[in-house]
Amino acid sequence: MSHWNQLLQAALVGTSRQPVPPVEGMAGEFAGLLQALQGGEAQGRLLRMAGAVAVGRRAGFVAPKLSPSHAPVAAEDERPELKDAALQAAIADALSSGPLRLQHEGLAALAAAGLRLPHSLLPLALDAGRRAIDLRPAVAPALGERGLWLAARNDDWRYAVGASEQADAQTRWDEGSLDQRVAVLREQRQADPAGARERLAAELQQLPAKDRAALLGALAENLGPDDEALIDAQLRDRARDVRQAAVELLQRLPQSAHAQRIAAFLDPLLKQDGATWRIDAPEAADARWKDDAIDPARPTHDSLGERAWWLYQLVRQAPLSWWTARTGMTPAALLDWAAAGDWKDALLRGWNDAVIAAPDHDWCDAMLDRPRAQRAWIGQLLALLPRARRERHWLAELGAEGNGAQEVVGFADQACAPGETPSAELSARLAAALRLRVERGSLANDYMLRQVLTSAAALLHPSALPALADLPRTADETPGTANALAETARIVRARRLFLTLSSTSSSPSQGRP
Amino acid sequence: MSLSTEAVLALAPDDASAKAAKGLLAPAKWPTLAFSDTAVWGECQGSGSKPYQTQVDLTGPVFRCSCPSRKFPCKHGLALMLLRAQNEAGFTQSDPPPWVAEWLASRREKAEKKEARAAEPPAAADPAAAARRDAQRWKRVEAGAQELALWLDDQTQRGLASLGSEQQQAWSAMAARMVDAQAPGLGQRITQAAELIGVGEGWPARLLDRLGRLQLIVDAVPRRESLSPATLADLRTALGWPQDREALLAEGERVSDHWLVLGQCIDERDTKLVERHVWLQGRASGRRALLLDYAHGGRGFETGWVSGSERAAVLCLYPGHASQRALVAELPSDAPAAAVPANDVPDDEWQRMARQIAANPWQPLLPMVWADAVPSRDGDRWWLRLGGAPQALPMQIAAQEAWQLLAHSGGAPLRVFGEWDGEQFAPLTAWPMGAVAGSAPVWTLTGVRT
Repeated sequence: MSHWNQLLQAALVGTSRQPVPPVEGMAGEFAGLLQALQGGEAQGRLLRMAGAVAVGRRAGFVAPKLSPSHAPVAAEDERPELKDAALQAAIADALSSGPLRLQHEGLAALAAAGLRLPHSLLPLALDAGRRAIDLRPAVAPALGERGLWLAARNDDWRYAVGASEQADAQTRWDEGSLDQRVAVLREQRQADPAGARERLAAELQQLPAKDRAALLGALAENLGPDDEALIDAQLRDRARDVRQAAVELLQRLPQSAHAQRIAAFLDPLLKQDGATWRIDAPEAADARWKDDAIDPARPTHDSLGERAWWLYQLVRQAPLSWWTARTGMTPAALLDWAAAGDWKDALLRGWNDAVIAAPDHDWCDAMLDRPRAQRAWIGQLLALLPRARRERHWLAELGAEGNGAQEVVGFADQACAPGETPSAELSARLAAALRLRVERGSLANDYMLRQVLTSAAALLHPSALPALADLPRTADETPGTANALAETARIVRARRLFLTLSSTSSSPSQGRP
Repeated sequence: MSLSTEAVLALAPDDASAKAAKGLLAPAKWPTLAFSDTAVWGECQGSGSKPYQTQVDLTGPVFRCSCPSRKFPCKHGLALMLLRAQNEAGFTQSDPPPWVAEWLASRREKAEKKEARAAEPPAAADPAAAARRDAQRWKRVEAGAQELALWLDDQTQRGLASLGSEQQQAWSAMAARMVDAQAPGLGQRITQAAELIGVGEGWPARLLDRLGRLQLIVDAVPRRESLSPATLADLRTALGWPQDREALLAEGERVSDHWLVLGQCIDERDTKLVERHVWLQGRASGRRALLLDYAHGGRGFETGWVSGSERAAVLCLYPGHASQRALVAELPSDAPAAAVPANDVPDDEWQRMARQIAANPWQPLLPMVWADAVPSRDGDRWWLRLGGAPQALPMQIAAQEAWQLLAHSGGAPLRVFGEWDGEQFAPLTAWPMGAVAGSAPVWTLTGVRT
């Protein structure tokens, strides 16, 4: 035992129980000093010797040895880093406190200009991506070699390391979180639908209900007739969520046995009377329904009556194409017909469910064209349409006076993924409408407008930014108004800076369809 | 002089000020932005009708603003320098307007007066009265040291193993007794030792190390008559004996050099008090010095130092062996650029450390420069791997800062400066390996450590 450890032991036990250890086996000047201390004053002897040894240990400190590092050195970056200080500051600011769209735009503009983030911004960008999954596709291309190297050193940032994420699908399937397992399945569905289906089928029955429902939903990727057997079997699952997931998938397969059975239930209810069609609700529950995940028991507080509830359940499971094929009517004509009939609540609600489960653009359009009172789920319906088809509805909603600007910004914000913008034309009209409101002083009383203004600043097509720049300021504005205007100005300024990046590169960062 | 964005943000008294400053960067907020050789100024539109007049004397940099904020520098001053860093083209060169010229002139005048005062012979102090005061203080310190010696012996007789959290109060009381005995340095060491009790694996060894070194100070007090003047000065510093600023400036050892700012850090001492360390290294002398300053209530520091930059100054070093702590005696703004080549001979930092400890065992922090060091994470800890050797220093660094440092290293060696406390290395500044003296660092510690 070293002399220091002997001193420590005596100090722990206490000198009243254990004497100060003698200096043994040491030579030289230092040993002489310690021996002198040993022979000196009794009070404080232990600490005095410990102090002398402590100072010696400090002066002769030997750093601990680490096992050699196997971490590679980061590869040299071919891409130049972003040097412009103002742009660096704008991106840093967006990443630390800006809206997601702004973060996305800054990173995408940087990568599109053939640049990479400076080293000092890498942790900030990787953290932003850790918080927001939607941002991740923009983070990875902006990182450069150094950023990829750094991401591999931190478990929180591994999402950015494409290589290891791709490396071993089997490991991620075996050990990953539910999200990761869904991702593995979706990836495999793209290239090898049958293999992915077998992977799922092998485990499905042993999984908890939540996992069964989520993983079954992944079959929506590249769905085909071969999947029907597996999905159909899940219609009799114990869990309602799993049955629902199966129903939604089978709706997308109009030739499936399930779809055919639903059609067979509906068929006798729909009768042609001369030129007009009539629909009736079922008179009684059918015992065969339970095989198709139809619940005959009406929920206590549902607004539908019992027979309407039965009809609604049949309608929501039937492929929408069955109606147009069976009646020869267009979706718009069917909606008019239903609205005029006795069972309109059951029909419209069922069709709404059906269009969201198995998107059909013509039905979406027709539903959105109907007078407002009959439309529910506008935002969800809009999100189902490709941008070009959405904008017609947005323009209608906006109105000639621009009164719907707040709603349309809300819809567009929901419907445009980060990196997408509404068209230049719609953006210009929205920006003009919002500017007019600000000029009229509406910000003072309309707290929703404050929020919409900053959303719009981050969302609209870049060509509309001048209309949102330099909004009028007044001396007596409230803190809420001042904040909204400052935030809007900050976002507009940052986006205009980002545009200077893309103006020097070949591909301008315009909204992708 | 032009500061980088990071260097400006490092001058912020707190995070809130830095954030507020970033909110003022719209050029529209600044109807006037201009500069001359020695100053930058601008007018910032605030909530009132009259814009705030913000100016910075670049020789400091020293800030002044007409806003009512008690923060120093205020958000307007920071924003002005941030704008300058990010958008130099937005400033026009011109002669200073009266509100700037007057301030600059008054600053020059004050500096001249100060110099004149320094040149005057100091008012004849009464040596007899000073000696009496000293003797009185020593009497109280000695009584305190005796009491502490008994108390320490009592602790070791009962054994450190019996210590637990219930002793904290008794230890705090003892620390307070030492403050009463006019030996705050002893009190501080007791407080620091008490914080070790029961914390982490191997705490008894760390505690014994501290208490042992404390015992050496206690032992030195009754022997003070036999100590050399330099050792006596070291003892007084260890006891927390305040240094008379004027006397030091009048009598202390002066070193004139171009000083490279190795690094700096700001530590929170109390809710209202922050302590700043600025470490300097003389270009010609190779000497390392510490400027230790305090600021109350978010007021910031009078003089800003930019890590990695170099400036001419005359320092006045505190008395003692291998003294590190210094005061700035003169800060000429018009000194010519350094002509001598940098004294950049790589020193063996371990040898330097051993010499430093041998000369004065009571210095709590030692500056270290590692020319070839790789920051890395091993297990849950951060390490600084030294020059390809298997040895590594455990680092004391917040995770957020450590990731920044790692981002700049990329697994390749850096030149790293930091403070060594005998157990852990706290990095403050990093340059690319082989960077010349006076070049801008890639990383500096920012923010206030709590």
